[in-house]
Amino acid sequence: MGFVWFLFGGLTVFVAIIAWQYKQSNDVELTWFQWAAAIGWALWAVMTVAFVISAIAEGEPRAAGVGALIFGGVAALSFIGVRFLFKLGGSAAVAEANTESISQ
Amino acid sequence: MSDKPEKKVTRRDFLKGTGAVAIGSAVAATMGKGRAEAAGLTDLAVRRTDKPYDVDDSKLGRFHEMNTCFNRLYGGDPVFAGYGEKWNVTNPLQHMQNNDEGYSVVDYALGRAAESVGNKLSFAGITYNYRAESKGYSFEDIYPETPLGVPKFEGTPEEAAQLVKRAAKMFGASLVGVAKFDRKWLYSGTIYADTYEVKPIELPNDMQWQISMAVEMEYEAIKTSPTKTCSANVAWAYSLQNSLAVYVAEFIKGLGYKAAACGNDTALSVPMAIDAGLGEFSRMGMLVTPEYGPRVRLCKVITDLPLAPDKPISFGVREFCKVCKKCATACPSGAITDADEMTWEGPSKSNNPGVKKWYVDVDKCLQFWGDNGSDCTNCIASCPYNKLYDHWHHKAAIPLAPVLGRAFVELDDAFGYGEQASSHQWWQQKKK
Repeated sequence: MGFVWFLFGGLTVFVAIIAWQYKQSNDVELTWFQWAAAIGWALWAVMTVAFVISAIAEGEPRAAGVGALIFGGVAALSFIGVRFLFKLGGSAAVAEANTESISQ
Repeated sequence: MSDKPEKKVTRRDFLKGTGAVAIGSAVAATMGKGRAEAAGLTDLAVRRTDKPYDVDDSKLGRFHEMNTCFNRLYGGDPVFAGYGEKWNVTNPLQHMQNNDEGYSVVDYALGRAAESVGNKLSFAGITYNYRAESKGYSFEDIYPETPLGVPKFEGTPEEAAQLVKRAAKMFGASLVGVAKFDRKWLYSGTIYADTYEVKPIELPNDMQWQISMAVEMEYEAIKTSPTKTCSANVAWAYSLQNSLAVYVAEFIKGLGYKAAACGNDTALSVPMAIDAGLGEFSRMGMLVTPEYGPRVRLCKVITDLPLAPDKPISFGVREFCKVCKKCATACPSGAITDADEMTWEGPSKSNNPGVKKWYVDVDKCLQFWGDNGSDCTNCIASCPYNKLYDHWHHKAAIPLAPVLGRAFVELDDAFGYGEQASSHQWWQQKKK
């Protein structure tokens, strides 16, 4: 079980680094609200996966399935909301950054 | 050619990222654990309290052990007429002849074996059920005996408490706490199991401290309630609890102090365990602990060894029990009330009035045991606090339960927790 958590932790960090590098390379600037939404969503997604792993480990497959449905469903629906927030604020920042690089 | 940097994760980036997360998590976990341990708690969700229950001294008296439902059953109380036979002979025989799952000869053999040590320990003075042939009761066999007559242990109450707790853990206690012994929990008297002689219980006035201990029962076995498979695990825990009390009492006697080793006998285990900071009272009448929920058996030692007391704890059980009622729904006999509010007295002669709580109609409970041909622990099995707290998501849920209330219960049901498991599957489990 420890090895499973090790892998899960490594994968989480890998995804976080990819996201950070994307932000840096595209000069994405986020408002505090977008930061909060992104981190909140990420924590919820990590919690969902961790819950499913733990429920399977304790021998409760029904809890794992229902947890995936409920928590995963919330994650999927809220992803739409978070993406909308990013489109509102993030696209303006990216456009501004691209404009600057072209004019230089 | 693009002047944007390549988007790839280098080994350096990955190691830096994982290192940062690992260090941050370790520091946070250590700080949290340290804060909890400094307060003598197992969890940040648990806090100490001065008032774990409400008592009306005008109503509360010392309970007489002959009024427990078991002693009434075997004492011939008409409420239980015929139930002893049904519980121990008729229905078990029928189950075994039918080879009912969870009630087969294999399960009854397991139960018989599980009870064996506890029964034999009655010779050491531990009474845990009427069937014991007791040669001396725990409140009589209390006198110290230091090894080779050396002077008795002299240390601070804090040192003594640490020694007793460390010894109790070695002897098999899952939980241990100490407190001043409140004499209102001492039974006023008992009935000898072999001679049916009624005798008062008194302990010397200098026996002012108590050590309460809990023994964890097996999660998977309890899930098979109300079968004999589950009952066997309960009986095994009884054997362990009784030997544990003897070990700790003999240790204290070896230090040069008086000690009475008690299983269910001599005094009320649940309020003593609450006083010692092991858990809270619940709707079903059992102690609910933050480490195992209600899935524990209790024993205690009463002593004159001065001990630094622990304080009672609170983690929202009382508030949650008010809305949960899962045990009341799961109870096959309707013995557990689903009333919102607590009362000062209960419906059964075996209830002890004077504490504000939910009272269980133990007559109905024991009658079901007779009809079932085995004990029942559906209340424990169904309780949302009955979880394996090795898993992080259950520990995280402790503070959420009283906050989410009924929604937490609905989630608990939706996840399938508390449903009866198969005895056949229990027997097939490959335990490490």
